[in-house]
Amino acid sequence: MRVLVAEDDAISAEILANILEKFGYEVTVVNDGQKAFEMIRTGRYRMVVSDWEMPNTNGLELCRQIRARQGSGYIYLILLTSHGGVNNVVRGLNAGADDFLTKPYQPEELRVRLRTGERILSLESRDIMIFALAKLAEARDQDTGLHLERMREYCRILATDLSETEKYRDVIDGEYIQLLYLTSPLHDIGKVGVPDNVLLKPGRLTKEEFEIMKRHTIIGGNTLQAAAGMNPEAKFLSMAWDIAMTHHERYDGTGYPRGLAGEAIPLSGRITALADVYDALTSDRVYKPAYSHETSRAIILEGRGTQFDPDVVDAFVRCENLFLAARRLLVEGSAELENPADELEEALLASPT
Amino acid sequence: MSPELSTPESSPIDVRELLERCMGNIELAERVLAKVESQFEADIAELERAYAQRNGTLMAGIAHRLKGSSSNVAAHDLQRCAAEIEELARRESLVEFPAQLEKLRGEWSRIKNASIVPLAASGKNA
Repeated sequence: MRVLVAEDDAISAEILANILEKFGYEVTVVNDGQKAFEMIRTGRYRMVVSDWEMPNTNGLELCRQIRARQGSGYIYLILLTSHGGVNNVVRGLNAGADDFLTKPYQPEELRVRLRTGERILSLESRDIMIFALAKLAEARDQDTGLHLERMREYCRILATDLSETEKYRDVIDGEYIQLLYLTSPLHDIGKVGVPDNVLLKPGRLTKEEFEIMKRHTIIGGNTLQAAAGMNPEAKFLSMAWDIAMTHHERYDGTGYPRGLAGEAIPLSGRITALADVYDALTSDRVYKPAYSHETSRAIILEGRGTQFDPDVVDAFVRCENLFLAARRLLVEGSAELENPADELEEALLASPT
Repeated sequence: MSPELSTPESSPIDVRELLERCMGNIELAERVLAKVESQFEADIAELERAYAQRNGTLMAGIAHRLKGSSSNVAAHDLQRCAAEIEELARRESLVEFPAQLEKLRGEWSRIKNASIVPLAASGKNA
């Protein structure tokens, strides 16, 4: 495993790098926080050991920058510093460090803390399994392409925008956005319970068939609710349940399965609803060609306050260029954005206005 | 680390501890001590320049770095001096600084006079 060391003191860096290499890690050393953040943005490092006092960007600022980014993988960060005392430990952990070690340290202590970090990082395999499950469910549907990949990006874009508004500032934080990104692909998992003759039917569904299709929300919701019941502390399961159950609810109360209205529909469901519909509109389906962004935009605006939450529609309008950039990247490009914010920004700069 | 390894009480560097931190790697310990020779001297000179400018923030930063590196090489008396200077600089109590700097220089002389690079080898062979 690679470890990035950020340490401006050459003596401490030399000792630390040698200890880490002896423990079997592949080590890169940089001497300030700014360079460390640049290295992290390459996506090559998931474990960072950083000093606190450094030129340019110090260890605390580095922690905050890492936590503020919306990268695809978690970065485990250990602050290694001469700043002792409970207050400094609290400051370091509050800034986003996962662990805190005071100099001088014993190599064995560092080793066990690194192992803890590796265990935490291995939990991300949970995220991969969740997405694999969603892809498996989607595999029965023949024409969705990279629907899940695009939809979760749209969800992230909308949630990030809303988190910057006064109304949602205290509702949506970085953890909420990550959970939404993680769980939104499970929205249609209940389709595994829809018979082939309905799910794969080319053309419009009859009224009876549509009733069967609508059950996918309840099938998915019940499955996730059972899982959430076994582990009530797992926030991702309760959010996944909300999304599966409510992504076809409408803001005016005429949706399904329960006819919830307004803010009785969980925010995650309201965001996912727009992201899901936008991707369906802009993609080819057996029953329709892909609509242009402009046409899709007009349809979504028409649904403001009826089908969709007005706040979510307003967020969509504010960041429609990001939607376009994400769509272009995830049709032509890779299936996952390594550094979404940067890649979307680059795509935006390259796109014609 | 062998249990019979000992460090003279008067030694400005706890060689046993340094070798433990270097996981018994004598070459690493020697390399680190060679760096100490150049870096500590440079840090102390930088500290004096920062004092001449009455730049408490810079002084605190340099003293902090010196504290960290001296703790890593188990130069604990020097580490304490550096910690005191850092504290003074953070409190902007620069009046007491010359006396503390003198103490720091004295400690640094002890390390230099102890011919520190061969210390590691002596510790290993003890």
